Amino acid sequence: MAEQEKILEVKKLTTSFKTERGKMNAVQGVSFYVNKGEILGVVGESGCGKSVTAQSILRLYDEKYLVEYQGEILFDGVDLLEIPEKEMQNKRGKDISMVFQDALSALNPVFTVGEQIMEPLMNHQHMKKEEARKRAVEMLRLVGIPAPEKRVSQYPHELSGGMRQRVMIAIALSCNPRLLIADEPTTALDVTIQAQIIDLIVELNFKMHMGVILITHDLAVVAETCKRVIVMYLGQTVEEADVNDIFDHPMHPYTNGLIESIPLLEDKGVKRLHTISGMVPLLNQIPKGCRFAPRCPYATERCHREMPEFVNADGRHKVRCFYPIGLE
Amino acid sequence: MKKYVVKRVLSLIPVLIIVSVVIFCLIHLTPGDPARTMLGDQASEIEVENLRESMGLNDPIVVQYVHWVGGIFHGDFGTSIFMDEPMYKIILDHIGPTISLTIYALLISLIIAMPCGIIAARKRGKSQDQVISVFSMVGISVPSFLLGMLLIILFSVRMKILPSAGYKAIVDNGFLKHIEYLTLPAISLGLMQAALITRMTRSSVLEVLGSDYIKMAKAKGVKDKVILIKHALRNALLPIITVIGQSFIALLSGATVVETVFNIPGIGQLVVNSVLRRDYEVIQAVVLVIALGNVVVNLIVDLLYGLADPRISLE
Repeated sequence: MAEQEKILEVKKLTTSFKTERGKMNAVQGVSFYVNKGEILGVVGESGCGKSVTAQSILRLYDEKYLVEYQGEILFDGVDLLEIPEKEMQNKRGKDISMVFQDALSALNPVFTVGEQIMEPLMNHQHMKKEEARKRAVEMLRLVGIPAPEKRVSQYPHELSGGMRQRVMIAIALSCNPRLLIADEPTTALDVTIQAQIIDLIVELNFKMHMGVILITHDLAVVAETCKRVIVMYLGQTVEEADVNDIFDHPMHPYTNGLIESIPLLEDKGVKRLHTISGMVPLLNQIPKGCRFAPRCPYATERCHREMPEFVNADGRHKVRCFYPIGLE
Repeated sequence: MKKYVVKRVLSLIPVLIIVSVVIFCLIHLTPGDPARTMLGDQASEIEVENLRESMGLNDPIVVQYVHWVGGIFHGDFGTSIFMDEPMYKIILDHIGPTISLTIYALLISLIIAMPCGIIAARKRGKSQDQVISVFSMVGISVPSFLLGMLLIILFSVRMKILPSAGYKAIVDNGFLKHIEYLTLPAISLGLMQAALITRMTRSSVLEVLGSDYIKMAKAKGVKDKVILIKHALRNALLPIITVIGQSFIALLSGATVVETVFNIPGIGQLVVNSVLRRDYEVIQAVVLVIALGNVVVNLIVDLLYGLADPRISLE
């Protein structure tokens, strides 16, 4: 089936930052793939490496001074980590684009919305100014901004938060990318606008048939939009499965903890909210064995000593745990 | 925009009133009798007293102030005790060299500072950054008169390629001669500002380069050079414009010392000589003009803000 073709395959990606205290691996050995036209959810707490993974795919970090990549990022079969920066520039915004979390800080305050949408069009598709402007208006209409002819010459600070996020999506989609990375696109918005933005992404994913990586810490969003989901903890993938599987039978204790900490409407009476005990350790204090062991209610001595592999547990369900829940 | 400019110009009035009061008091509180200085040590007490009377120096200080300000409104900035020329002509004659020098010095500091600041920001923590940091530290620390004298020793005495002192007006000697005579003074005046602007540019560009919209521009596939010039610099420019405005004012007043070192007949030298001669009316007029220049530069800076950043509305 053509739909099962992989548009992106990340193999054992490790992203390490050079800091004053030595090299820190923000992402370690992460592998996953995205099919054409599929929405893949990436979930995890703050600081688990979701954003770093996303920005590594686009190679946004300063490679001269700051960062070192290892592994493979195959986009359409080409390893993005191997191609020269110039070629990478050609892919950014054209084949792969990205929507950032905070639209206010990600839009350049001194350029109009139109100019910012036109820039990739003129760069990648060599459009003339007039043509690019027309297309910018079209894009604004596509993402549901009313009176796009007027908005196109406004500055970001003149728009509302939801509209700014729509503008970001318009910029990202302007060149019809084949992969969209949405890094917490709704975190900075209020709930009703959140739903609109997510609906918009789903709708455009369907219309334009592009792969989407939806990074979020909101499990509800994942449940509604994604088919497949990976869970990250401390720079590693700990679980990967179809959405239904994850919610019905989470195998990793961390995923289980995440799902249990969602308050349910049918919960009667006063009940303490479930939390995962402990805190995410700092990158320089990563435990030797399983990274989740110090916070895991089921951890054994082996967990503290050895790192479990990320293995197929049950069909398409992969997990990084010696004692997956429900499989003993 | 028009409304804003009018408002700003109107708000100059109280500023100028305060400045004029301060200048006036300052000068009349300084010891030294202009009449005695004019007539010399040989003059008798009666002659001095007569001159004081005729100059109005015996009137109450408030009356003297009202006289002075009233005169300004009639276009009369007072009369010099020593120079037999109308005040506006004295100031006009002397302000040319100072403005030339100031603009030249500012250009030199910008030409040095902007690229250095940008390079330092891009190569943060690398050797280029450290070298630039050291030089800007030195630049800030060395006073302009010392630098001026060192430059004279090197370029005029040893290498004999630039004149050590003096001034040639554009009208009489042409642009090249003009520039030749102003180069050493402009360097010694501009280097300290160059150091300041370098540091400001570095931190401003650094801050902008770390912002999300730069990452976004990169994610759109924009080339590094374009990111730096188009996306980063325009945003970094705001704090830099402020510093440039301040530098201009600092250069204008800093010119006093350099003009003395290089014997340039500018406003600075006029002030120094007038102070030595107790020619208080000249001092008053010149300081008022400099204050006015200060305020005008600030107004221009504010207007530039509005052009550089659409978030700042000048309505």
